[in-house]
Amino acid sequence: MSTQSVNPISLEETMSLREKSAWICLITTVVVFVPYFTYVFRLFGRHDHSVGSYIGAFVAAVFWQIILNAGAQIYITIRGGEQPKDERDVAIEAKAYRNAYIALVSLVWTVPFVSLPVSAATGQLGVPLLMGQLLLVSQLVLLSFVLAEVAKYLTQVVGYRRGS
Amino acid sequence: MEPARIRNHIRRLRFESGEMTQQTLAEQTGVTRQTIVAIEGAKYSPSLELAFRIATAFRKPLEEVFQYDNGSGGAAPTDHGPI
Repeated sequence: MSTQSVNPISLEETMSLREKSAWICLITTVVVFVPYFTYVFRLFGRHDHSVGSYIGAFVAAVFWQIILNAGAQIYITIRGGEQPKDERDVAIEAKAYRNAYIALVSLVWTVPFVSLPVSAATGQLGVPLLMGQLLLVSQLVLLSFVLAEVAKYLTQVVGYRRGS
Repeated sequence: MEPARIRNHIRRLRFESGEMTQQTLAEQTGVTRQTIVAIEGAKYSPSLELAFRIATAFRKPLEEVFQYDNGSGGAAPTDHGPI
């Protein structure tokens, strides 16, 4: 059994402010928008097309994301101090935006191909149920934006962990 | 992902420069300590400007700090052309 003392470097010490920030954005986006989409797709499944419910859920999701994100960002900045962006941060961010763009373009194209079969499968196809279809399309477009954001933050955290 | 082909002697040079810390080098070159860690571990290839700033911090010519690995097992000659 080794008695050699080890001075462990905490994970936090290996992270720059920008990496911590990317982790926070990733976690808050997942924590807020997974319940949001679960809720709105359940509403849609129940044929509940009251716009107020959807808008209320969206406002609540945005509110919580702002609160959680801003709180955590302020906390890490106070704890670790302000750090200006350096060239590695800029390179990783550029790669992240490229991947987010690819994800967004790919996902938005699939919206019509997903919304029509889903509307048909749940018996919500046709002119009288147009509001339901519009709500579904709007939620699928929003989901595309959120997944593109997730792709951006994932690229950043992977980039920082890999070192480049 | 292709491994970085820019090799460096930053770790040795830091110890030869009075055990300079990564944080001190980072402050002198205007980057974060984590970027110095990534460069030192050959996980990130710095821009030419940052490479010059690092070499200047050690008061060494660029080719004493960084070498380009041409893939044939040894460093490419550095007396003709940029890295």
